[in-house]
Amino acid sequence: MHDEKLWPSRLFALIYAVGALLMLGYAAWHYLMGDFLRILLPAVLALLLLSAALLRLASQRYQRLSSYLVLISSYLLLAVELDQTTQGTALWIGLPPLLALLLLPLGPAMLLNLILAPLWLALPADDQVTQNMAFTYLAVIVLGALAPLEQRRQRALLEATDPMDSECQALNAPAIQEHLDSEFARATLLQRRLSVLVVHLPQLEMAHEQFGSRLRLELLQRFCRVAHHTCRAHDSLGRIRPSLFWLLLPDTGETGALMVRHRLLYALDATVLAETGAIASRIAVCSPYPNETRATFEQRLQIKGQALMESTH
Amino acid sequence: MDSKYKTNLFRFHLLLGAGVLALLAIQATQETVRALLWLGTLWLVGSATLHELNQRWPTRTPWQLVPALLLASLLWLSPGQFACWLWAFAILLMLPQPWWLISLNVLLAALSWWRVQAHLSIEQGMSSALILTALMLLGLARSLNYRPLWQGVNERARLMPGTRLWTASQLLEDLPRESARSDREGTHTELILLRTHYHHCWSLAQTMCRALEPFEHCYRVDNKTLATLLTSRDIAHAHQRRESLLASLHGPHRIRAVSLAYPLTLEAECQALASQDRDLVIIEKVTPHA
Repeated sequence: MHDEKLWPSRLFALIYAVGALLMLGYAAWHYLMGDFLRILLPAVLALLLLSAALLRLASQRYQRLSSYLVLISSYLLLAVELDQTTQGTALWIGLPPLLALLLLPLGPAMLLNLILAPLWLALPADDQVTQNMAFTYLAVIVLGALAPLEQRRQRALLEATDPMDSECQALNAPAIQEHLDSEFARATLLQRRLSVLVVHLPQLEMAHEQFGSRLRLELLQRFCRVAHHTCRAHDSLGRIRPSLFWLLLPDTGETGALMVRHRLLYALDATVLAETGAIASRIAVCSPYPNETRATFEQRLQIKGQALMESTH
Repeated sequence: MDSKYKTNLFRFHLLLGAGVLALLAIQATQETVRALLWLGTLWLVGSATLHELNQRWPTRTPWQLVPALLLASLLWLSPGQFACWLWAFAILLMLPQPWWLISLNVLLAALSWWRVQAHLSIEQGMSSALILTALMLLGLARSLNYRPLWQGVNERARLMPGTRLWTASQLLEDLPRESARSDREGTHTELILLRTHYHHCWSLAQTMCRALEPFEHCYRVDNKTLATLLTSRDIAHAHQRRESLLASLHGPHRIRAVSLAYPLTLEAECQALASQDRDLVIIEKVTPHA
């Protein structure tokens, strides 16, 4: 999941550190009570939590690991305590499933909750766990998962309604195809012309391989900026494949489109990146023939794009 | 379209939750607890069935209030049985919500904790308070991450995936662009505003989307008003297209069609629509420029 990178890591680390302090406090309490046998576990777990906090701060890569460390230490302490206390079990058995939902993504959290459910219900020492309590416990697992599910649904809805590409200021493939639909229908109904520029950026793959994703993004964004500068407000730029763009030019004939192509080539030539030099591009012009259907026109566009991409190899 | 934004799993889960709550309600001994649990069941079933409806327009209704209040009252009435639900306040904070609702949730959690700790020893009471605070912070930390997503959903330009139904802010963007474009292309574009009753709005929007050409869009200006930009070759063509569009619309409505050749603002036209005394007003004559 790409968005997990954005989790405010420091806040998480801080909370884990607070957890470590709580554990340490618990160990100290046992010490004061003279209950020396029970000091060891919370003291070790405090160290585990502390390392989880440090891992969380250290690198994004270890965030799942640190979540599991926190889960393991809390589960261990809870299991030991539940086995020994006679009081408040109804409260404490609710903690593990919710902790899992808070720390892990939905799938692993649900799996863990379902697998461990019999354990948590069987652990408390005496027959405090009634059938009623088991149902309450089940309910909290099921209802708790609704919150992450709602988040997931909202993300899916946003993705389905967002027309922009995730990496640059261009429409994504479904959106540009929809624009082609509408511009084609408009040109037919209003008897106007339509042209499409098919643009291939051969440096994109190479830039990624040689200089990493930062340069690739830079290249994409620079290209989009230049393209938006060269065309009019109602022309639409869309990214149909990772390195292939369509620029729809409504009410523009073949000659007009050739002029736009020339302008774009010139502007891209003047856009210089330190690592790769000027932005290289291959641009083809495509206009619908009289009486051509939308499907055949789109097919022609795809074939042109393919030819552009192959000619660079 | 359903599978596109994962409604099926969500709906199934809502119904599952409703089932579990109903089971609890059947077993409940206290009258009020049973009533509350049935209420929760109804709410979940309702959300599952009306789900499609909620999707259509972005709402600012703070629905998170319902589970928070239910949870708090259940914990207040029967702290013994529902004690393990106390931690669920942390989950509620996972959802992005307005700040006043967050503080209300914290308050309700504190009250519930107070009720629950009465049955516990002091050490357990104190440690549960500390752990609950830490968990709620965790919930908040996760919601921070989803805040941009939530705002994106509330401010999305396209209202439903797969339909050409957009928001008023998109119309404000499209209006000058279409106006300039029709000037250059020599086409005739007009703004059509349509006012109807709240419950007809959705079906009218659907009819309109079907009747329009693929390059025209439907906009939702407010909960009673829809708009579209009708583009035609010339005035005669516009007349013919408008007639056929109006013939396809059913239900009570009031319409105002204004040519974009006429300088206009959306706000003024909406006011004019609200105050016009006839059901259909068409302004297509261009006032001669000086």
